[in-house]
Amino acid sequence: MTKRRNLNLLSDRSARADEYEALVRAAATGDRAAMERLLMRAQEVAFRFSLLVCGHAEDAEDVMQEALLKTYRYVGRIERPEAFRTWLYRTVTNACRMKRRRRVDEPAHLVSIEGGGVDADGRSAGVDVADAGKTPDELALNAWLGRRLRRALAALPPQYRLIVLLREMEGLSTREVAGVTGLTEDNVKTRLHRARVMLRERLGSR
Amino acid sequence: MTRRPAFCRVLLERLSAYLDGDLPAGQCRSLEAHARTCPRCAGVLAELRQTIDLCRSAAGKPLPPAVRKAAKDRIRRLIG
Repeated sequence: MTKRRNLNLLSDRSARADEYEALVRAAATGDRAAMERLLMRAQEVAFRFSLLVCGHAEDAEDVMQEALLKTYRYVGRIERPEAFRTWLYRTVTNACRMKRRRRVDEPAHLVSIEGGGVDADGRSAGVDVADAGKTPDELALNAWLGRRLRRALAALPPQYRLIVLLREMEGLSTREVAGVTGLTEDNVKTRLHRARVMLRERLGSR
Repeated sequence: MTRRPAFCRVLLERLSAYLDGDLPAGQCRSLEAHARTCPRCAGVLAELRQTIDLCRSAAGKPLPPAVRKAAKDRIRRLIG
């Protein structure tokens, strides 16, 4: 049962990787809709990483802009569409790192991925923005789960946090994470296991 | 806290591989058999699975509307 469930998850992830490749091939041959979807995905990745890796919502716009422009240029001269996803995550990860290096201090907190850390005008704002259309209980539960996970992630060493983000939240394969980070696949697996154990302990202790 | 038996410690190191479908079938069976008789290992396995599910449930959230609109505007400016 577990094995089947795990294999289903893996096949979902492969489908997503294939989808990226198909989008890149279509965009490279002039398919405008495919290019738009690809550019939107690049910005979505950049936005999530800005919040979760940099921890600064105000960096998101710059990182999104960089991901947008680099993706647009890269697709026009791409030779290996199957490697696009790894390239995108490496590009965004590096952009986030550069942003972080420019700051004197490390992020003191991570912004809620649910709220996005921006107000209705797209400016940096507080966390846990309410989601209309849900019951108060659901909102409270969502806020709680969001806050717990955010705090647990923030407590991870950055190199472990990056692996969790890439593998669990962005759905990259172990090989892709190795390609993005420059680690061996065995090291990715080891770090992921340690990160999961640390997260479990944090989430359990509250 | 009491120290876990060596057998448990070895299995705990393999839980991620098990959950990721990377463990050979024989080791899977051994781990599952042990978890049926060891509540502590079964508990850790369940909690690790919940941790992974929690992370994955936070993935794929749509962009906030204002951010999505700004992203679309950037695309429009870039490709017309």
